[in-house]
Amino acid sequence: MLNRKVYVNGVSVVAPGMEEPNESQRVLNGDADWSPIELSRMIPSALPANEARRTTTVIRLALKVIESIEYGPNISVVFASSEGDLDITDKICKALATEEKMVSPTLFHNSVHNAPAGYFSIAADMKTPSISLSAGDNTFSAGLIEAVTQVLIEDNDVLLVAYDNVTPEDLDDFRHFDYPIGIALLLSTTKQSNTIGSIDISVESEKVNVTQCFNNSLEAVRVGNPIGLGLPLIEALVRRVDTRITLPYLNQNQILVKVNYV
Amino acid sequence: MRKTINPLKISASTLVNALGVGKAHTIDAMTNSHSGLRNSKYPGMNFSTFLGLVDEVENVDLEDKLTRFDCRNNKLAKLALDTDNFREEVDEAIVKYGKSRIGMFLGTSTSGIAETENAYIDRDKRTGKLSDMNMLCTDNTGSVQRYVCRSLGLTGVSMVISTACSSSAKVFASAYRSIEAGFCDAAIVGGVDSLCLTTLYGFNSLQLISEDICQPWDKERKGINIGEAAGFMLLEKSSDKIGVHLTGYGESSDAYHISSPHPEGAGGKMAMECALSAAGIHASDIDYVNLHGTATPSNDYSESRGLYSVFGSEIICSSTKGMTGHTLGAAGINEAIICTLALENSIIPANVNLKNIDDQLPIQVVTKSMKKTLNHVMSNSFGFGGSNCSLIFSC
Repeated sequence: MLNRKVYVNGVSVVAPGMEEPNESQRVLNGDADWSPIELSRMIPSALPANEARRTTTVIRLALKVIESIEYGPNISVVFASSEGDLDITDKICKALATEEKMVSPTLFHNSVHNAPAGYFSIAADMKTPSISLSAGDNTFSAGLIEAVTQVLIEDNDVLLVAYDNVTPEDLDDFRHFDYPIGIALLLSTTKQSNTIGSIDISVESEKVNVTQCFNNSLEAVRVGNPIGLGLPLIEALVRRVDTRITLPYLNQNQILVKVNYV
Repeated sequence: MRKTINPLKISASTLVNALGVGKAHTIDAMTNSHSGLRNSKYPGMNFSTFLGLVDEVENVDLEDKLTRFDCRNNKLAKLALDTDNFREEVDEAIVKYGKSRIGMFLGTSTSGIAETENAYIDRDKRTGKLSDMNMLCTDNTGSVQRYVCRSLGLTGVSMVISTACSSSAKVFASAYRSIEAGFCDAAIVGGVDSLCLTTLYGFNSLQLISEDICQPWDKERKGINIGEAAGFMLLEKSSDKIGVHLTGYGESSDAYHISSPHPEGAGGKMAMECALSAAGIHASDIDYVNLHGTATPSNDYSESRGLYSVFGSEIICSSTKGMTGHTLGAAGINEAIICTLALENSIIPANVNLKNIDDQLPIQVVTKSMKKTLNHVMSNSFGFGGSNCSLIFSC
């Protein structure tokens, strides 16, 4: 069996009350209780003004969570989002329900699941591959698997960016999330001066309880958005502890993550 | 230089597109150069274009236990699963590997969004509420892998890749990585995209839809015809190297514009060169390229520039989108299967609907189908957001 240990060289979480890295760090470290202070508009600084103007909340959330991560020039990126941009789905479906069916071209090109990937590649002038995926409520875990396999097999540093926004009013009855959240992890085959820890993941079919948040006040975010399910892993990395984290995954499976402080 | 990949054997496949249900219809069109595109209407549409419709999807019922997944996209998936002996081949693979050791990597762009469109159209005028739907099982991008895993009885690693028109080409790369990293022993890759108002009106708003039958590489080309398709392949590690194999994949990002391709095809060039390195072969070893060839003026121009920079002008190529339409998130698998059929049947398919060759393009396409023994073929898929993927199949 291939050694699946990969190093984590950066982490970032953006959620209400955790918009800036220092606020986020305090909550993830268990030094402060989480409180849901609304996110700002998160205008992306890295994009030219005409591109920035076209971004949506979801695109800005994905770009914001990457902002505090220091990455090199040749990383590849895994974007993971359960729902992508439901604000756009809402607007397009509203337009399609009218007689004229006038869909805005900007809305349509922003509607693709990989829109944040496109904007990121332009902002960072990054011609390396990126992938955009979903696995329903288990999207964080699916993104983690894809990111780890990219590190191991392509021998690249890989940035995992997982995000989901809250649902617009008309769709909220059918798919409700309590809070928006973005999580980013920079993974690498090599240990560097900024290495936080290492992770080793496996898919397990044996049922064990999934890990809850160390900071109990963050449980609301963990269970309030499918991407929140990744929070216990980020807490363990930020707290620099040796531990095992169990995350839910598809088809009655779970992901066991061995976290080591290095 | 990238290291070469370990080839994966394609041990089963199934394909449904506008040419018909099952691979035999596509082989027939590849041989006899006909198109499955028709001037037709999708419900709720008020403009005229040619479409690559799969009429048979109307008669599909999902399994009784899986009706929560009911939508055109998952019905199209079921139509393909029930075709070309695919279920039986998967059952044999389950015996060999176990249901938890076969991964599932599928691509789609719009999933079951037609259900959500209808919920808005059928909104209750009195309460303002949308009509009932199961969004997670239909509209959600991950819907199709959850449905297909249940339909086939598989419980392994699984995900849906959604990178617009390169979605079901990139699934090969993800499947390869998961197999090599030991997360699964074999994998099903595939793509499913069905007609919906979002893509019809969305592409129309960008003025990328042709009113007439689409004409890739033609001087008068006016844009795409949208088609629908579902295709799946079973990939296994190879010990004997007999039969058709995935031998290379290459991925890149344009980093240029969110919906326009790089004018010189720089991102496409990078993906093609990366695929050649992964296969450990040279450009001169490629016998045929199945083009992305969407028939928009800028896409074909960009791709031809990228191709010229990799292959020079002497490369045999064609777009098959004049037969099937642009099947968007399913284009990668649709054309990957066309490439494997080309290898197995020694046919190079013609670029149909072509009237006046565009002599501004530095590379020309095949206008009549050809019989030729093929060893290595390439398939290109380039999408919105500048997401590029090239695949190489060999036998």
